Amino acid sequence: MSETAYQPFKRITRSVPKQVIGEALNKPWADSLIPFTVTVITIAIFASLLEGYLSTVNLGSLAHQFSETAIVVLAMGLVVMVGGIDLSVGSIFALANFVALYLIIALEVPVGGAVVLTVLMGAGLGAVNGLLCGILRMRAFIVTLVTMIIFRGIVSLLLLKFGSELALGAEDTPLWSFLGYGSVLGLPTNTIIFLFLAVGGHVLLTRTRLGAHIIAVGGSRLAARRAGIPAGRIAMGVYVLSGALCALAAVLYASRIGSVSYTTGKHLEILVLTAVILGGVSLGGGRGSIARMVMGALVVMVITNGMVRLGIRGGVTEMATGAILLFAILFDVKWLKHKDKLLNSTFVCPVKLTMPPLPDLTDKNSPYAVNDRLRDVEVIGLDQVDGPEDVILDRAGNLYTGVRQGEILRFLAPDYTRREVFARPGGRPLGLAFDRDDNLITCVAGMGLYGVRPDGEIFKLTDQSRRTWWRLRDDSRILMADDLDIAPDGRIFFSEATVRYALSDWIVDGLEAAGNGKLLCYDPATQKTTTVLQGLLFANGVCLSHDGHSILVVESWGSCVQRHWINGPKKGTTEPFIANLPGFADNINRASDGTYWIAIAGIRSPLWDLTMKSPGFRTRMIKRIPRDEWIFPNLNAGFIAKVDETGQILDVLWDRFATHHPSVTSMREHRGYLYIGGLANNRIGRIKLPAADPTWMGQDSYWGTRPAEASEA
Amino acid sequence: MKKLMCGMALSLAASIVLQAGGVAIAAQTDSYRPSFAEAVKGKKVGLVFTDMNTDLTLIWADIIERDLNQLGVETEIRDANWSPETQVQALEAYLSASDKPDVLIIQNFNLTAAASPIKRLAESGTKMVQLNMRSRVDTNYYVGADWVGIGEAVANELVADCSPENGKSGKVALVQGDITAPDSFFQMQGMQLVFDAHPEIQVVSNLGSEWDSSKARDITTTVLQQHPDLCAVYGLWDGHHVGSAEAIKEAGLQGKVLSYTNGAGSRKACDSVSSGLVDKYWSYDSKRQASDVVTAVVSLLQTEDASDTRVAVYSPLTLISKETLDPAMCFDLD
Amino acid sequence: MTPQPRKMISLAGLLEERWAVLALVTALIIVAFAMFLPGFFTVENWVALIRSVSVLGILGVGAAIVIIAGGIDICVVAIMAATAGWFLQMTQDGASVALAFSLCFVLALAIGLVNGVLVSFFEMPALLVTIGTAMFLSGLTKLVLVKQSVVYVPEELVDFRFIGQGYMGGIPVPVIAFVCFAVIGHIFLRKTRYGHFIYARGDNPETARIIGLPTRPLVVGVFVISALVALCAGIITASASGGMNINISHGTLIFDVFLVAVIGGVSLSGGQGGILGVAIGALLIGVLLNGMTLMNLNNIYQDLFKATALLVAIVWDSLLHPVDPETAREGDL
Repeated sequence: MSETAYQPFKRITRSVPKQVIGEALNKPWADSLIPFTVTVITIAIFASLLEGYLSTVNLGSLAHQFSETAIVVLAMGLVVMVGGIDLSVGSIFALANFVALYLIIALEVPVGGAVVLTVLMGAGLGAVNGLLCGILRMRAFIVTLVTMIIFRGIVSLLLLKFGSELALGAEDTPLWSFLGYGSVLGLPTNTIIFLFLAVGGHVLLTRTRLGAHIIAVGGSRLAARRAGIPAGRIAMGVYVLSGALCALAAVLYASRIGSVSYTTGKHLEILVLTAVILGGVSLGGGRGSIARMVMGALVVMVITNGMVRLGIRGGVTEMATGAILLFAILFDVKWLKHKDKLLNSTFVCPVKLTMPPLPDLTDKNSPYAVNDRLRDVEVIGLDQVDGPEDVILDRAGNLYTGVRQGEILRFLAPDYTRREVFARPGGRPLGLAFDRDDNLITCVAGMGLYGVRPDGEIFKLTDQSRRTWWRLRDDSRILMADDLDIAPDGRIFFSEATVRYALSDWIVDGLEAAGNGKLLCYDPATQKTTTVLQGLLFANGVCLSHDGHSILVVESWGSCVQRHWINGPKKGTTEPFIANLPGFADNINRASDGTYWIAIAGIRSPLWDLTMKSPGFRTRMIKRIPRDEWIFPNLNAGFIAKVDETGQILDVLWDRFATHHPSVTSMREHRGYLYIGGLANNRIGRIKLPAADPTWMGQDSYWGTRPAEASEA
Repeated sequence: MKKLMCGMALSLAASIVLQAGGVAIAAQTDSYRPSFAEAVKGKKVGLVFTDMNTDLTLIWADIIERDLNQLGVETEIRDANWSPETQVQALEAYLSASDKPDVLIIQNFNLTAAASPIKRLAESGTKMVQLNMRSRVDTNYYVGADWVGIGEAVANELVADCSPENGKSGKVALVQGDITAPDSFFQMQGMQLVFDAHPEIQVVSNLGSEWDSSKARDITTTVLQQHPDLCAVYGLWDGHHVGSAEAIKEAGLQGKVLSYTNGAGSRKACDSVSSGLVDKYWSYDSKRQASDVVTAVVSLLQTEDASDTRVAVYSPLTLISKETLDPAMCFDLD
Repeated sequence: MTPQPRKMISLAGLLEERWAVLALVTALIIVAFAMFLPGFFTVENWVALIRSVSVLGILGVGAAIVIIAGGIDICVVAIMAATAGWFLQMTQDGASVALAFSLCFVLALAIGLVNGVLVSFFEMPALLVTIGTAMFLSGLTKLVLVKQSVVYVPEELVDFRFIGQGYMGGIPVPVIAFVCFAVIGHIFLRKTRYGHFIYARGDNPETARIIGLPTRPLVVGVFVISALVALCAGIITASASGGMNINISHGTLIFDVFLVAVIGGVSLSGGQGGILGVAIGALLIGVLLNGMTLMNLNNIYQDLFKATALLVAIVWDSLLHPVDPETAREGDL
């Protein structure tokens, strides 16, 4: 049995281990890999140089000293993510520190009240920035520069007037010393507060609508505006939050250090900006995460603290911080530039596929011998359709097809010159079928399995299946639903062409040959979607056999068709229906005489078979040369074949000179005519089948004749 | 020869008598040595200053390290590089270190920043010397200038030199460093007492320059423009006062507006007095302070339980002016 | 924005130019001060005023060239401190003025090259690159180039003091230096080919590259210019103050430079503004500070007022020329 025969387990075990790396790099947390590695290395270096670095006492001490700075990192990081920058964080910090101490020492306000008032003040200062940068859309750099100087000036003024009064520090009240030197669950109070804020920030950014809006505004303010997101208010909110966070950090700092000085918060903005950049938060906005900011903060703090403790002179620390910042930026720039290239080249994991011997099409005696039977087709909708991948006719003879614009068009019987938009589901409608109630069920690539009622109302059947537990990538979303057919009990069997690629690059799945396709089953009674078959080499056409006991499913890259029994003694098993086609088949549909029509969209070539034999060649090709120059499966020339229940080829129809239908993706027999569609075609074809039953149509075959319609026809 | 014989006989007799009297000379050991050796064996001293680029800190580090190392005590330096945060980090690190120093010498930034770690270090048994800039917490030793005293002394000089009775305007400008630093805080205490008793002296400006000579320069330029009849400018530290002096010179008022300051007393102090940039310079002689610190350290090392020790070693002042100028008043940094 | 030949000068048309509005505002303030502040409109006061902002103006010229080209240079104050500090340290230790200056020249050149190459060839954002090099340079200065934070001008260098403290024809040398830099900068930007290329590159870097302008060497060039300007500013400052305090790289001078440029109409997005605006901006700041001094406000109030005035100016500017969200360039900070 050749490898093209259905051997899912083998295909999966061969392909998945390689795919793990590529899928891991594509995960959102992959961006954190580099900062994470850097953090670990930095801590390891200093742990080896300093005795007892990793002891609980020391780690607790470090956490105690840096939690306030870390909170300010969160503040700056959020502002950078929304597309701005806040150079005034240090000044807000200093002012809040002063105000908190003044309230507590001079005005003897209780600690709780002082904290609240200070944070509110910080929010107010942030609101100034937010108003100017967010609402008035002024340049954040220059605005926060100026507010930094103004706030710092206010601090100097206050220091001048009240500095001596506060010089001796605060009395230690229980709450105040708890904030500064207390601990909760073994961690210093300020660390607990920081962790709480960090987790909250993470949840905000990743799980809430507001967080998605923040990232959207940062990524592209214009696009966010056009999508209806109130960009100005969101930006303003982030600046207010930043101010409040800085003030909170300052209160904690005041409880720990308790001094007002011109040095408070000095250069904090540079330190914090370095941490944010090191963590890979992009300065243009829209890229980054709380975890990464925290890692950047850790690196900066470990290095500065470590260098102090090693007795290194201040000059060296500054040089080192500057050098690290430069390297971090360089790496970030290069990573952004080459990331897609790198990810693409690691995502695709070609696997060896040995194709069966290629049938010789030049042999006049071959069942596939080329003819020109499609030369005289009638043309329907020339230049009025863009990519009619599948075609189907209803009981009244109207012709339906899904096109590239995301619409399902209807050509009205009997002349098919009048065209209208029947429904607009969006996405890319592919396979079509009518159910018992004359609803048009369609597979929409990019969206899922949808239905259209006869009056044009669209409803969703399913867009999710169970997630495959052993795949790193979350494949529960159906990205490439291709074709479908409906069993007598109403269950809809449909193909998911590939779980690893989407509408934009499905053809790369051919290069992988890894068996990423599935056959799914949707049961309207339970509304559950189950996986029937896995490991298919691009699951494409689906057709219920004439007796209703099995499902025929096409494996395009496998150049074969499988039969999966759904009833009877062999229920649940799969066997080859056609083991070796000369090309990549697409849709398969019933014919009027108990046989099947199958569309071959493209022809295999000896070169292709050779390429499939060498996964190393394909890997090198992907990595080294541009995508435009890769070898792809040929989908430019094909034909239509008629096969019987045993899988034997009875007849072939070619368009020899590629006049109308060089590549065929589907054909549908209806009342003695064969209607032909193509994924990249600009027309639908119709050819008379002299030997066919002129009354036969699909719906009758599936759901029985209707007396009323039968008399109309 | 006879005299020699007599002499020898006399000394022999003397030694017998003295030996008989129980006062040991040649055969007795120096009893301090063993306990001293024990006290300094394997001991470490940590120096935590505000920075390592000013004349005071450089001479302190030089002398303290040189002398202590010679006596067998290990020293290490932690550079706070003008950041109180960094100094706190260094001290906190010592708290949790396994090989923490036995004595710490700390020059604070201000009264509160390092107070908490200092208190906790004291509780954990580390002996501490605060050098020239104290925190609000007392430690075993304070070695440094008596800032209140300096404030009083300078204020009295200002009263004498600027009084309207002597034909001057009575206007003085003060240029502080860091308003919350102990030198500013305590000098102002001393000065305020004197100025309260002498209302004829008017302090027209009392701003902080953040230890920055260019800021001091700007402040002084402004004040000179606002008060052309200014009598004197007093900079509370010579490091930033050089900017004020240059401003006075630039305004062409050198010699007319008095320029007073205090500082470590390095060579530039004598140079600035001789060139006329500074009229009166109060030096607390940081080189001598360093020696005082060594004494304090050695004393602490030989004290088992120093928890009750509270000793202040105030630095005597030397007033350097054109009249009193003597090169020996200033030290050189090598 | 290519400079176009002006056909007719009308007041309304003139007011379209940012610097014209600025000049008008400055003139109004000067008139007001002259009327209400005694001692403002005297020769010596004006000499002191312009002198006080000369160095700021020189730095503003350098900054304007970089910003117009589409970059930004945070490193200038660090370069000032490093080069002037090293120069003074070397001459203190006995080196000749010629040797010391040559070495400092090479240092400034090297830093400018590094900044320029990182920004143009490695495509790193100028803001962060220059923050990084400033940090690196500041540490290097403290560690290697100078011994103490404040380095003094050696007594023997009498001629050196002339640069900062001398007068030529009654005008202080720093003022003459400022005027020279401004004139040269203006001619360079407006009259030479490379000046036009700089405007083009700042206005639309992609298009400039596509039409064949040598954008990369251009960017390297402006950073080198900025560094050399900083060197000169450092020498003048050191000569005027009698020493160089290397801690200025940690101060607010760098922000004052940007404020002068921005208030002078140099847009941070590049491609707009000119030296004339910078000169007027420096003048305006000098006038404001001087006026406040005469009003008996202390330095803290002066700084606060300066910053608030600038805030008002940029808010007003943004209300006059509001950013159209549909066409604004994305990703500008």
